[in-house]
Amino acid sequence: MADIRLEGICKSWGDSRVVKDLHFSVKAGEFLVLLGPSGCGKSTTLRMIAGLEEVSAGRVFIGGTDVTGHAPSRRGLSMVFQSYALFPHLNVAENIVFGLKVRRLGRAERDERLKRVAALVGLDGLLDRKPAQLSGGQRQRVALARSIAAEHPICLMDEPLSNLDAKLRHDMRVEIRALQQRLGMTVIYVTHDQVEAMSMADRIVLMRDGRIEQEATPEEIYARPASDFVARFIGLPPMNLIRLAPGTDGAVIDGAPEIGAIHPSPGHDTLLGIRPEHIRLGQGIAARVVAIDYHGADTVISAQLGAQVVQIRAPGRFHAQSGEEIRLSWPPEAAHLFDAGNGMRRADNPRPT
Amino acid sequence: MSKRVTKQALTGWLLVLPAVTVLAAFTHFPIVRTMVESLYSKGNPVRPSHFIGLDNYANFAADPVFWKVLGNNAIFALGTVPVSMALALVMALWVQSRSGKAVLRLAYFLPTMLPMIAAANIWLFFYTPDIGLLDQLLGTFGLPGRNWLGDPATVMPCLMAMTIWKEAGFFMIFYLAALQGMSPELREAALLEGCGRFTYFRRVLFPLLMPTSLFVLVNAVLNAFKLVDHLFILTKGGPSNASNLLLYYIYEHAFAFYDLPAAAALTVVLLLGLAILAISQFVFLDKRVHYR
Amino acid sequence: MFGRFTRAAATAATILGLAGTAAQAKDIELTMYYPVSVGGPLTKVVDGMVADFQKDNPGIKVNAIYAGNYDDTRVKALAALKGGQPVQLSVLFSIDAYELMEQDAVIPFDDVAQSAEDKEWLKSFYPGLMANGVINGKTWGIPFQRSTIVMYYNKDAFREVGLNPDQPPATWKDMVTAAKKLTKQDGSRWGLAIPSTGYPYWMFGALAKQNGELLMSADGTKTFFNKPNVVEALQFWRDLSAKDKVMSEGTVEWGTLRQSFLEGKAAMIWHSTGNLTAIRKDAKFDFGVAMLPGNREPGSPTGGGNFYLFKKSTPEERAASLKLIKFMTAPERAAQWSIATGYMGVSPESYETDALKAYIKDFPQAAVARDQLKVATAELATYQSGRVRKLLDDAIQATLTGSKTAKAALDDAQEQADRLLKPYR
Repeated sequence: MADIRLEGICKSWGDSRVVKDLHFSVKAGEFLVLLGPSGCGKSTTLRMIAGLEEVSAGRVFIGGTDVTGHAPSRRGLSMVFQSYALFPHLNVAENIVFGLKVRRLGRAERDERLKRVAALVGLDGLLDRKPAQLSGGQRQRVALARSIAAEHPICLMDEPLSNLDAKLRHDMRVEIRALQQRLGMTVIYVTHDQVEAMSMADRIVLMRDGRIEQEATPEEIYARPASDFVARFIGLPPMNLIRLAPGTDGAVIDGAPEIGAIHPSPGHDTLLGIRPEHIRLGQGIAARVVAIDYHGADTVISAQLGAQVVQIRAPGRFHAQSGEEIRLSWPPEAAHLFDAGNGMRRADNPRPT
Repeated sequence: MSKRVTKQALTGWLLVLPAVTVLAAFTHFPIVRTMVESLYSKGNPVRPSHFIGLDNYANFAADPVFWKVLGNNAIFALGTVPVSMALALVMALWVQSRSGKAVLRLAYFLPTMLPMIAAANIWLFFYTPDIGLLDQLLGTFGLPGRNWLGDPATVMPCLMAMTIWKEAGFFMIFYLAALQGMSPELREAALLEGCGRFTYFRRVLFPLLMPTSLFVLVNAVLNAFKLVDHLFILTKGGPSNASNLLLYYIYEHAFAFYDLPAAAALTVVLLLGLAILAISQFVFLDKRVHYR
Repeated sequence: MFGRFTRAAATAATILGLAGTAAQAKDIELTMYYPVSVGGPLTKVVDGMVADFQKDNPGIKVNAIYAGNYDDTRVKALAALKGGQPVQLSVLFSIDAYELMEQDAVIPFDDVAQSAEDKEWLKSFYPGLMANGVINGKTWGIPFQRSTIVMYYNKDAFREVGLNPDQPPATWKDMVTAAKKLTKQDGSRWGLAIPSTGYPYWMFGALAKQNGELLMSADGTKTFFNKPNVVEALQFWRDLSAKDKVMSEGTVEWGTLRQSFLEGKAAMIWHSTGNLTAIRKDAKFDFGVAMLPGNREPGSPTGGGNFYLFKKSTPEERAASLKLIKFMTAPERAAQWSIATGYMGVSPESYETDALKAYIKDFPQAAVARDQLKVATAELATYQSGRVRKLLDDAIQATLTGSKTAKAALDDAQEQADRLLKPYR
């Protein structure tokens, strides 16, 4: 009923192709995040699903019906905009029931939904305010309430939290996810923030240059990034990608052959990916501290390893002087190998645990 | 402490002094002078002007032409303001949805750029009986011509048509600016909620344009009382005051009759009327118009 | 320090001032405003005459400023005076004399023209043209661009409907009969047009005179707007469109009437003689000029502009102004001006000049205005002239547009004029 399928969606403006032959589907009740850097075509894709943008090619199915040519209002979905798109001349209550009025819903039904939704998102007592009298978080709630009140099974969200401060963003993340699960909505959520994606999504579609780079669950995308791009996009700090060079007994770290072979592969055109949090300190290969970045719960150490700098995330406070030698090691299953040419994950990767 | 406050106040006064001086010299003083002048009789070297209290006003109260002129002005305002505003809004919506059509915008704005005198001359050519464009156009359809400006029944509508033509383009600019400042996401949000074009206009666009409309309304009403240039070319207030407006009547008193006190009295009446109109517009409409 | 500077400046100023005075004695600068209210390139003609004058009088410099129609010119000249700018003389409406006197802006010519020769000069003009300029025995205005109303008629149209083109109607009755023949039922041509915007009182002065009445007393303190014959004259004007259907309904625009005549939309028009040359130049058909038809008697008011001397001027400037006015109104110049414009020659001598004689021989229409002068009367001029004129203008327009009867409109106008003029009696 509320599942969405995209088949070969393309969008171009003149000569510039923004979305290139996109295929993916969303199951009913699923929380799907469209993730990617700005300009990757994720918002355009969302707008094409909403019907606000025409597709240049391809088809959009909702609940098994081809809605490609349908007007936005006939697709049975609601949307939360980055700017919230609240009507400034209407108060909170009027904003929430705006669509219901347009659709000529009875007054009793309207009031009932308003009451329910306002309680749900915590807007009681603010219903008479105009948007200009609300804080950013409150406006966000109104936008959310408006889309919930519509009672459409599908809700599209376009970077809804990007105008909020960090603390509020966290709270809203939790809240939106809880609401989605409680109401069983199908959500497609566009963001460039990997934290939002990882914490909220059932599944992530990571886009780059109008194409899907990887489509997977958060766990999968973290554990088995399909490319060096995905590897660098997910995780904080991002995964270290260490260029390897061929050595006598196997691949050696580029610029530090004296360490010896660290991987049995030949080492041609290979990138070795290791997440900072998977590197252990104490024993192993030698590196020199370049900088220390203390975060409270952990410390991010930048260290010179051969010709490159790697980052290590160590729990607690780590004391070291710049230039001091440290020793690094990682479990074999933490190593990811990528093709340095096309960036794709190599087949001879060690199995993850 | 108090010394510092005094010094601060002094600095403040010094800063506004230039503005206050200019305002006082060119606005307040002339208004007061006009009010005082209106209380005197018309003088000449033989019989100097003397204080006559409110006689000038009493004379106008008994002057049927004055009431006729006032009525004309009311008709002129009622006839031009709503139509030119509506037209301005329609043109703005039309032009805005077709971005890049600079030519179209220019076409609508062109009448505004013309000086009123030039515009009036063009329209005189339209309205001239028998040889004018309008009558010739009617002639090609076999319809009889009319003496557009020479007939009290048609002279006001003729002036109003020209004024609307002249004003609408100007007001369009304000609406256009307002429309372009509006977030496209509002339209999209409304679209998703199932709003048609008309519903969107009625429920969202129109209310959001209210502050602009108020601004345009105030300007349009003031203009309806301030426009006078076209009368010099088209009718000179005739026939028999059928198209005479308050400002032209003031001109006649000041420069045709050399009765400056009478002109001053009329000016005070005009000033009061405009002030009351502007204030009431702002006071009564302001609350209903502003949404922020 | 400051004191010394002031003294030095004062000394310098004195020296410069003396030098200035000396220079002024040699070089007099005059400023004159003048109007144009008819068609044709009249400003060029005036500029040419002024240039000729400066050639003959090297010590005098004249700024002749065209300032619009009669009303505009009066407004601008008086505004310039009030603003402290020098205006020593101007051509203004002949009927503005009362207003200018009341404003104390002008001086009578008698104050300046005191030599025997000058006094003779004052008498050299047509008496009919002096009527509006002589008040209480003193001459306030010297005729310059003077006109009467004449009837222009389209001879081709006359021939077309079987009227004798050389015998224009001489009575109201004949005029209406001819006009009925000339009017086309489809509205493409009117038999007659008498303009009723701009200067309706002037046209009405003609009708009233033709019906045996003047509109005002000679001293400008009384009007006779609602005398029965005056009411009858207005009724006649109204009937031309309402009853006889030979003239368009409503008011007839002064400014565009010449064009209507030239395009054949009106077969007979009443207009100023000042339009003669312009019409002659642009008419693509044979046209005639006739004296206005009469009813009880023939007649037309004079009209147009007189020279006035302004009070704010030095004796030298006044003398120079007089010199200029004498130059501009001398028989040869008057003849030249008349030929160039159609305005009449202001003195009998001007019609004796070779130039005008030859011109009239070639173009007899040019003499009509002069011939009509015999039956001409003064133009409506009273104290409070602006207001009184507007009262009459409004009454005429109200009648012509059918919003009031002639009697009611003129009764109202007379009552209000009485109120305005009472203080002057």
